[in-house]
Amino acid sequence: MKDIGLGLEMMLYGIGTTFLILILFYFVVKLLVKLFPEK
Amino acid sequence: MFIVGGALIYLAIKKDFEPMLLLPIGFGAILTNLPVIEGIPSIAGPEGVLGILKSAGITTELFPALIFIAVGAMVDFEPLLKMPSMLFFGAAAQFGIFMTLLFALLLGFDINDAAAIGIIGAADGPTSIFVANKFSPKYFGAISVAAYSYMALVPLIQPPVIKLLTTKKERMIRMEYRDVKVSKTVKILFPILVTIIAGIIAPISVTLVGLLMFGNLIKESGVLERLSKSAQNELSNLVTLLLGITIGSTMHASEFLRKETLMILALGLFAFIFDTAGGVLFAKFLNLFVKKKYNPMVGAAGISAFPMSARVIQKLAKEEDPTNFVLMQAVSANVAGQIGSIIAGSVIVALLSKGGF
Repeated sequence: MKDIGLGLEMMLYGIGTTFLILILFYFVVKLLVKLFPEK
Repeated sequence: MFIVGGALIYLAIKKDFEPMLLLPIGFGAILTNLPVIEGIPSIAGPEGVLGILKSAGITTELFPALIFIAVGAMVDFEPLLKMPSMLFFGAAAQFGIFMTLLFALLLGFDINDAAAIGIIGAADGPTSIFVANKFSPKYFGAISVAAYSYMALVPLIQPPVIKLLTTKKERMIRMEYRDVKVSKTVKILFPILVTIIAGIIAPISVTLVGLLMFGNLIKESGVLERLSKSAQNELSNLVTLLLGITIGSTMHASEFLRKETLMILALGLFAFIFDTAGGVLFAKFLNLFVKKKYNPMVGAAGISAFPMSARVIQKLAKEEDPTNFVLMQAVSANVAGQIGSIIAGSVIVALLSKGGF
């Protein structure tokens, strides 16, 4: 059962970090497209 | 094991299931299980050709790393740069990885093995190989075979899950597509910035993300056409060839023919089902808050199996409404899934590498 606790913790951190990084990428893309629009 | 190897070769040739990988894996499995005569080194032993390839290419993680350069040179991030909100689906569709990890723990696997099994849900062969080699060498063969086999089965796995979780009305939702032009500067800066951000947040991701983005930068730079083509063709073909047969060489009967292999194959299927469900349910969740609704099926394309998943989604959308066109959105989500799977894989490696986790 100790491992299940670890698994849940890993799920929380794993999904959280994956979302966090991809949300950061979202803002990076938004910023890049704004700063360097196609002329 | 001759039957297992033969079955993989059959699936590759007759059913066209990931033939580039399953055929060499199947033949490698046959080679490694041939009887060994005393005094003559086995082909898969430490002194045999396949053993040497394993030490040089898999244990060192060189093969998956090189594959990432090739994939990077092949992938086109433009659809994603046009619709960056699809990145959220690339994260949500990694849900299966973590659900499978939990189920694997419940079935009695330890945390390292469970994480390596869960990563089958990345729907990304090289990431699975990378993680399995690091944390679960004893199940390496089973995990690799499951990862590649289920990728080929995406057209069979995803539709029933999507239909179960969505209504006909939801599947008919039309999504607006604006053909925004993306400048070359953005295409060049994107791989560089992604590498820097991922490298700072999860330094261990540099091998995966960094090399993927390096391959992409070669392509987008526009000045290294020869190198880009070499990465897309020669490098990709050569490493895939050696990778497949080397994976096969790890499938020795004593390690492959056990009940855990069947459990891993079942958990792999489970991972793909929950990936699909994660993407669909997240799209439905977003629809509670946004004015312009997402077609929930597009969420399911957030897995890394490119471009199969996007095609499956478009086919399903067309079945419901022949004039509905969601391919571009699904392709964007699919490309996001390629990034999401690598990030999720890197996060798992980072969490497990810290020891505590």
